Amino acid sequence: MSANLSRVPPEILTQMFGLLEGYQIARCGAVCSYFKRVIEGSSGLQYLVKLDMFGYTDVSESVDAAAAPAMRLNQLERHIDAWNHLDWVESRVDAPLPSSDFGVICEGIFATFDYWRVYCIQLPHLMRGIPFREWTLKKFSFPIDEIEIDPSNNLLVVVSMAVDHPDPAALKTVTLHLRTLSDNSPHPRAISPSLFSVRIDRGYPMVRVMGHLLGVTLCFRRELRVEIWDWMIGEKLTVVENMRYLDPFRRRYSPFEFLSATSLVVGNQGVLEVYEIRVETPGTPPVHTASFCMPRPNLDEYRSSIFRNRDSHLSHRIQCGNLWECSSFPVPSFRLAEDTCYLTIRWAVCEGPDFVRGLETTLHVPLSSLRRLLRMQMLWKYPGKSGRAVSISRMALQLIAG
Amino acid sequence: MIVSLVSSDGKLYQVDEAVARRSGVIYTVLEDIGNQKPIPLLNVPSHVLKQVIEYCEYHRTDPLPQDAEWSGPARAELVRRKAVVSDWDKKFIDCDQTLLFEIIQAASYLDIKPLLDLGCKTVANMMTGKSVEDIRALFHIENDFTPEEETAMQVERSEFESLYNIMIKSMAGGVNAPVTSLPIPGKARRRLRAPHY
Repeated sequence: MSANLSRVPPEILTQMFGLLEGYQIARCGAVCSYFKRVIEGSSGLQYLVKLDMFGYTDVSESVDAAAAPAMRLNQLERHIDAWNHLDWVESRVDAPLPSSDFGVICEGIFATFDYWRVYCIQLPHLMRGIPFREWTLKKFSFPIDEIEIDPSNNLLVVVSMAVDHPDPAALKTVTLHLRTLSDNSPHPRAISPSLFSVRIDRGYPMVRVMGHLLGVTLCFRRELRVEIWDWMIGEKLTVVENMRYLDPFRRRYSPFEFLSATSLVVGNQGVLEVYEIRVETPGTPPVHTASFCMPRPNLDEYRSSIFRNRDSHLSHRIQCGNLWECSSFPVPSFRLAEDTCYLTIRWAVCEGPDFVRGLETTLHVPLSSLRRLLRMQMLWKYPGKSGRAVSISRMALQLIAG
Repeated sequence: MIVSLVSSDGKLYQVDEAVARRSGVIYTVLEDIGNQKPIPLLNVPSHVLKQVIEYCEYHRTDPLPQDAEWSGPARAELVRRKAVVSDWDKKFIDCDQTLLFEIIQAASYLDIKPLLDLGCKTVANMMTGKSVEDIRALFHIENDFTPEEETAMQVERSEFESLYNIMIKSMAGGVNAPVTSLPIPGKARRRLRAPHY
């Protein structure tokens, strides 16, 4: 029996290394060739290293899921590989869709709406044995302006706006209704069937739901804010304030998205800001944990593409030379894509103070990359200097996105 | 009932059956053969066996671990989650490295899972946050890589290390320190577990 760690049997070493974080396992692999062989020989350890290296967390709770490390490793490798070689698979669902240009896809449910109805489609999945199903929710006693769904909670959030005044700039009353997604009854887990009513003066409220949290953007006097509510108990938890209202396309892109049950990413004038929500103490402002300056789209491409499309209404502005003196505000907005887990950031480069029209480019950033950046940002943050924005160069972004 | 155990260097130890049954191997032997004869433990020298018996004496009333609970990689997670190490255990395992590794190997040989976990956790705690050189120095391990292998690994590792070396400095508490868990992507996975910070 020997007393040196380099002569401990492999199975004990595997167990020891299994208690370490992925990066530390990777380090141990560089200590000596025996350790390296042990780590390379264990798919469980390889899995932990890979998982950590790509910024993922294994959230599987069941023993079964953890019981086959080789299978998990294989899955992870395929997942990473798929991300490195993004390849869209086109599949077709034959379903009559209403003319509404807005829909939500969440957990295999696609929902879209027109003024009085919500159309829901359960997207079929052959491998998981999920059949195609569609249903329509009718008999709403209010007009629908925006919806958000959370199939795991059977929740449908309907935003309804009532215009009190013929002047479009006048105040509008916004009401959030909590319904069930399956049969459009008032949601049983919510205390009241409507969450709140508030008067706003511009824009469309955008709603996002994550667990019991509900975030909604409200705009009042050009100032945008994100209110976070607990929809089950009907209580306002916190507010992210002082965002600039920019909606040049009059399209409903959300300027925020939940990253987890306690954190929120908000796009505000070209900066992605990450906030942590203190759920346990309602009323406290969210804690700003990180900021990312996103690279701006290349305006040269903008010019050349516009010259090619002289007929478009944009070309007119170019010929007027507006672009040369315009100030540009990029507006990041997001939508999390189901099953793919990336953040789509749309940029609106607005011309002048009127924000009439602009360029729209999209940037797809896998969420895992953002989480890695977030982790790095948290590390780099100096105490007492929260909110220091780290500028991410275009190249670095390509690096992480690739 | 008294069970007799013989260490590799021939010393005889007499322990209570309840104490001896903490070891999976001795448990099986007692079930199969009974305790008419002293049980020889060829891989465990007397100074280690003394320690192991001390551990088993102290933990004689603990519930025996269930097989299902103690198998597979889920176990590592379980050990990780069972963050609390009792003061007695801490004091017990706080010995020099040579003895520590001998205890771990003896625990593995005798199949005493809580002791094995305690030892592994102690070693893992020693490793956490250490650089490659630190680990070599700590455990007196020789670097047996060729310079070429070294360079190849360096490239492989550089990105990974740069991400983490600052975090490691801030992580002082070892395996039991709160791990910065990352948000879970995708709504489908969201409801599984709220990440904790």
